[in-house]
Amino acid sequence: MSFALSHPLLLLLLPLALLPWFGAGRPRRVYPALALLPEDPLSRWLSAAERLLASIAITALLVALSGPYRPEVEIERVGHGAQMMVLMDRSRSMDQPFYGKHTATAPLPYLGQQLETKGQVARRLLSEFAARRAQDMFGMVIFSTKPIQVLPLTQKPEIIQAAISAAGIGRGLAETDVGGGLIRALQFFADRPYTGSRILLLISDGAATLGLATRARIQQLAQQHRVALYWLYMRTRNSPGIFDSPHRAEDPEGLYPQWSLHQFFRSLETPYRAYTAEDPQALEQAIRDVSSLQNLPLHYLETIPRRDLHRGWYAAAALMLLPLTALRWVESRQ
Amino acid sequence: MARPSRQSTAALWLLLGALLLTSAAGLGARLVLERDYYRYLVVFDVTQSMNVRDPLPGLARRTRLDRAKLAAQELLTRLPCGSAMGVGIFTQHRSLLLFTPVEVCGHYDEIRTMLADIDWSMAWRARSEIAKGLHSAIAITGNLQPPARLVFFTDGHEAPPVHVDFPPRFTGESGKVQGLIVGVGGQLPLPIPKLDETGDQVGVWGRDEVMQVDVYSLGRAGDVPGETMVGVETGDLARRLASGTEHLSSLHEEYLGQLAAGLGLDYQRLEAPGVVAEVLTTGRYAFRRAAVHDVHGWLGAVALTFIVLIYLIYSAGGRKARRRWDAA
Repeated sequence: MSFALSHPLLLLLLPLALLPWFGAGRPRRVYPALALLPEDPLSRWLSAAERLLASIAITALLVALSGPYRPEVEIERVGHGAQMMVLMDRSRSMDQPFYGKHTATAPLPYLGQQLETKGQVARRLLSEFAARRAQDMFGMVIFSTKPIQVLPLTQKPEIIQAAISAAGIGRGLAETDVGGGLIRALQFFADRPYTGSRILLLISDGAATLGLATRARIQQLAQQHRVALYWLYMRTRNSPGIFDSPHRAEDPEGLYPQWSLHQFFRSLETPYRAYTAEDPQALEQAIRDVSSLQNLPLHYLETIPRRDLHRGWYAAAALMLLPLTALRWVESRQ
Repeated sequence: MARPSRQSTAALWLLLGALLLTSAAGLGARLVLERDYYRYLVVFDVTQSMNVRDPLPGLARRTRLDRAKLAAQELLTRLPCGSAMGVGIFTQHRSLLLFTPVEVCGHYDEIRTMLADIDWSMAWRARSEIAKGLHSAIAITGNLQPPARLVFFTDGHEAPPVHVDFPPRFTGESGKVQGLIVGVGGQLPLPIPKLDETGDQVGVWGRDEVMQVDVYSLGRAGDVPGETMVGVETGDLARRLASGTEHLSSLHEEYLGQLAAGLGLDYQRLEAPGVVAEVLTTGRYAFRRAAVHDVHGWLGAVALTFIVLIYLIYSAGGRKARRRWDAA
């Protein structure tokens, strides 16, 4: 444990601590015949004690004034977090209400019912996820027509939440280009040290059929940068999910783009997982998966902030001044 | 017994004072004072006219967007700790919030990286309806909790142009959101670079590739192809189309000044990057809040002075007493 001073030059005043030892240190009484006074050991002892108390008090005050502190230290810790790039859909369709899975027993939505939009549900889940996985590094890219990088990989919770909540202000943009977004987010890992497992978390409600070139590029980038892909799927009302296989055999890619995207992701050689937002267990499952699967150690620096230590020195000075004041008060009453 | 001397009374009071001050410092006494801080949402125009490199005296030939980014970086370094900055971009007809304002000292690196990463390729459409973009930026700023001020970097080049009689209407309350429009660019109209996917320049926008007049002047399409509906004066349309200069871009300072006045914002031209930072760190845009000041230094210094004074008093008092004795 180290110790440092903010204003060490103030210690040049330390000779002031000798001040009590010069001079009488008390009012002189005019007395005609000092020789007649008897020797008083108690007075001598008290006088020495007073000088000592004053000396220590001055020293402690000077040390306190010079600003003692324990400097900030950075400790390298090894955690089991991941580097997670969030790719969030900001297309207009994310502003539509989120109905969840359509089942025979689910109550029908009625006119005027206040439903959360898909974007709100996504942000709520993501925000909770980020809060629960504080050891992970998060970055964010939003996409509609063009991918827009919002946040570099960081571990600071405040700015992560700021980026998540920003996605909730203002309407969504026009279109969706999942392919461009995926490529941009994957490229983000290029030229960065592999300090922890990498995950690309896609949050989106729809899909587009990707061209062959785009597919090849995504596959290549995911392998090259060793990125696992997680997809949090926001189901559109009455749309078949990503897990349901198409009912109609002809043109499944055109009719069920989300299913086709899911199949493409599954064909990747890098790890892939899909979650559906309507499943209340999805968030827990995702958190469990990140904790258990991505178990490579992540090196990060934790900063232990600087701590000021002046208060203790002031307290010491006060403890010296208290008996000193009491003694002087008694003397002045005699 | 003799009455206590004046010096000894004074010394006792000084000692008592020193004791109280030191105890207060030891217990961690703090003073709560009002302090200025700032919260800004900085919005960048990322449309293509911002890629123009204006030859401005004393400034390297950077693009308008680069100069706006430099000014924002400068602002970031000058904001006192406790202030906050958020970032948004503008293109097409609206502003898009990237992240809400966060504290500048704790997130200095992150905000810096973010600012550096902003570029023209984030634009999702090749349109630049600045008045509407400003309106939406004001709406976004008004939505922020806690409140913030708006800083909007733009060259004021509307594309397509706006009809004088039909400017976009602002539905908000003028002056409710405070802020600054920063005009970026030079007075000389210059061609707008045309860039390809990777950002390489492949030419400039030509006269016939951009809309030279506003959509109203072009008229509404009628039933018969080639005919337009009446209602808007389009008498000199042919001349205006032929003499249009919308493919060249300069800083539309007068227009931005009008917009600012109408919206209750201020206008400032971007010259040196430091100028904008200086304007934005004046009390005009400041928020005030109670800030805790640790005053232990003052308490300790006064206490120390008191103790030193006591010994000086005694030595002075001692000399006086001796003089009195000698005189007697």
